[in-house]
Amino acid sequence: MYRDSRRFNRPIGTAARPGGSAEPPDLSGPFRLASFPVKQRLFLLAATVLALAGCGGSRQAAQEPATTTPAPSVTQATTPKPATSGLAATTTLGPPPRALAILPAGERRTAPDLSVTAFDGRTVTLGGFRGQPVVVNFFESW
Amino acid sequence: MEDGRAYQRRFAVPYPLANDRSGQTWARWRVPYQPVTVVVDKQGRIAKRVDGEVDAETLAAVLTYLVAERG
Repeated sequence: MYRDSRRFNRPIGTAARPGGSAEPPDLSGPFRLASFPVKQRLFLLAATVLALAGCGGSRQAAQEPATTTPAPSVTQATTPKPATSGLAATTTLGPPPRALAILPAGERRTAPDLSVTAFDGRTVTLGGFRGQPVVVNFFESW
Repeated sequence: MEDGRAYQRRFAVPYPLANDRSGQTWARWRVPYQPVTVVVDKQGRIAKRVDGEVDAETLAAVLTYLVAERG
């Protein structure tokens, strides 16, 4: 299966060149980063405290760790309420609305490590945002 | 680095911004093309990934949901 996909990934014109001089670059790997123009690979992190600053949701996030508030649950499979628009307002959190295409909690996998030196000199790690949702955006600028 | 700072200033980016010069982070997060947006939940798990453009309304709705989740 994997071998087949490797064959498909071979660049056109590079298959079985008899006596071909230069070895074509191996583009069969899972990533082909090297073949892309590396201008500025930027990525940014936004803690939701920042991202939601204007949404009024951050206050609720700050209260989340407190055990006094009734903790919303996403694993209430017994009563899957049809998720309406008022997400954060409900005390019991239903499954994510299908339109948002959020993975159910049970199917999520741990994100890869992330540790970078930001332009302001600070070291930013994903673990540093534990307890907060984080947006990691990868983009290029040139 | 200086370009990055200029970019951050010019667009008034309030969150951390970095340049992945080596491409290591892109590789580790399996990002072959840009743009890619990954949303991580409170427990450090990937809750959503968008390959391509994502609009602000969707992102805000996703974050609102994830904020409401229990940590």
